[in-house]
Amino acid sequence: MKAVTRPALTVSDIRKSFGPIEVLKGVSFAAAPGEVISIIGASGSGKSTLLRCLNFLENPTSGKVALGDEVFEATEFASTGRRSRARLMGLRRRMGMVFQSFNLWPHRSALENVMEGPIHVLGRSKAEAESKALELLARVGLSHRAHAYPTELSGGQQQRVAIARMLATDPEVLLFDEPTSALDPELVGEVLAVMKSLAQEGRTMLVVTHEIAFARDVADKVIFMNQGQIEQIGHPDEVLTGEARSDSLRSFLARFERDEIRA
Amino acid sequence: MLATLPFLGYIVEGLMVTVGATLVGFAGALLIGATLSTLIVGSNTLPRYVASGYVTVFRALPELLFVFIVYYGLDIAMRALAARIGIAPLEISPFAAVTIALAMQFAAYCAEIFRDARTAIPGGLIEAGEAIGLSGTKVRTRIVLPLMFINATPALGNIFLVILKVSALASVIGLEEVTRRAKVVAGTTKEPFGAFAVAGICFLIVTALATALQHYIERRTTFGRSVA
Repeated sequence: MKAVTRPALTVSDIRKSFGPIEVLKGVSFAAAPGEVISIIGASGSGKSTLLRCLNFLENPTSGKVALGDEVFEATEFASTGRRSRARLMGLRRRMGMVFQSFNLWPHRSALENVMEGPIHVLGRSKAEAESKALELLARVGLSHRAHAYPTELSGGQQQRVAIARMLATDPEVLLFDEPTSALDPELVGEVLAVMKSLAQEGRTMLVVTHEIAFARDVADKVIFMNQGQIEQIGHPDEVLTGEARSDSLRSFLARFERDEIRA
Repeated sequence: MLATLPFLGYIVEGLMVTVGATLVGFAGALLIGATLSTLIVGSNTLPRYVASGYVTVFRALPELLFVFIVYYGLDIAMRALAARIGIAPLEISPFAAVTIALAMQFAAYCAEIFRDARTAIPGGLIEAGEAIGLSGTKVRTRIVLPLMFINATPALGNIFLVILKVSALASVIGLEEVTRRAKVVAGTTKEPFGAFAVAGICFLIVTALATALQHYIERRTTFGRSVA
């Protein structure tokens, strides 16, 4: 008898409106533990908003997010009560996020950026946090830059520090919001390599990206978003090259193929 | 010029009062200013209007006028209070009056500086804190406040120097600070240029020290950015 694994993350009917404009029109999907899902789509299709709704940086208008068995309703965070604040912090602790613009704190060194979570979220001692942070910086290949400030690092290095900072609070699900879009082309590879190694060690990851190659080679599943909805979801081969692709997906992918030919 | 020399010590002593009034006034302005800026960006409507009104009024009032208002106003209030509860009125010291006036007035400028310094923090840095699960209080104390003070340092340095110079207004209500003493000496020696030159040099020295301190703080808070 095969045990049914419960999803690490279940997203149910997430809707989000900014004023009269509905950006997300009911999005549902689930990610199994260790699954890597790439989310692609044109700008304005709602993919970044979707990611930001999952850790409630953006409060969804309605819908549910479940981490394992724990369910978080969009409506419960509309108020700012103490109990819901505590639950929200717990949810965010369990979900890591990497941003397009890195968002490292400029007044703290790489090491201090990574130590912040263990000390001030997990309540670890300074010594414990430091050894963990050094370990994580080694993991992303930046031991030698531990004491550098963000402005002294290249974009690729900053993003790798940001990945270490995210891992420092032991999140169960990793969210990547266009992690390589702000990088010079020659720096993209080093960040993707770290992400690939995280995928290989069995992390559950949601990656909003324009890197079709990453979606094709690393992801277990690809979601194509169009106008606030999931238009296609499935195995990368099926979504990226299969016969059942919709017209908007074809024209979206065609732009990348043209780019690849030109490159 | 020679006649001024014996009074050198007397004028320089006034520097203690000048610097004292400036430091206390500056500290008060920072405190009230930080509070005002918090209220102005806050979500409560009434405190927001009160704080904005405060800033508008105090940016408009001439410093000299407000020094008078505080000094004589406090005096009248104190007399009225003393008469009501039947005790001898406390005398309002010029030092207290001028520091209160400076603190209240320059708080308006500090509030604006803090607000701009707060707005200059990229929202992503705050979101990064929220995303790892920091509490609202931790986001404020670990991210917002430090970056706000770093952003505000150059402008606050200027405010400090302006307060230093405006504190000379306290001479009109009889505070024995540098300019007041220089004026007294000038009257005695009939060498106004000598006396006021000494006072001027006093201000120059304090300003130079304050500027050096400010640059030191700015150098310590560059965090790897190259400074031109």
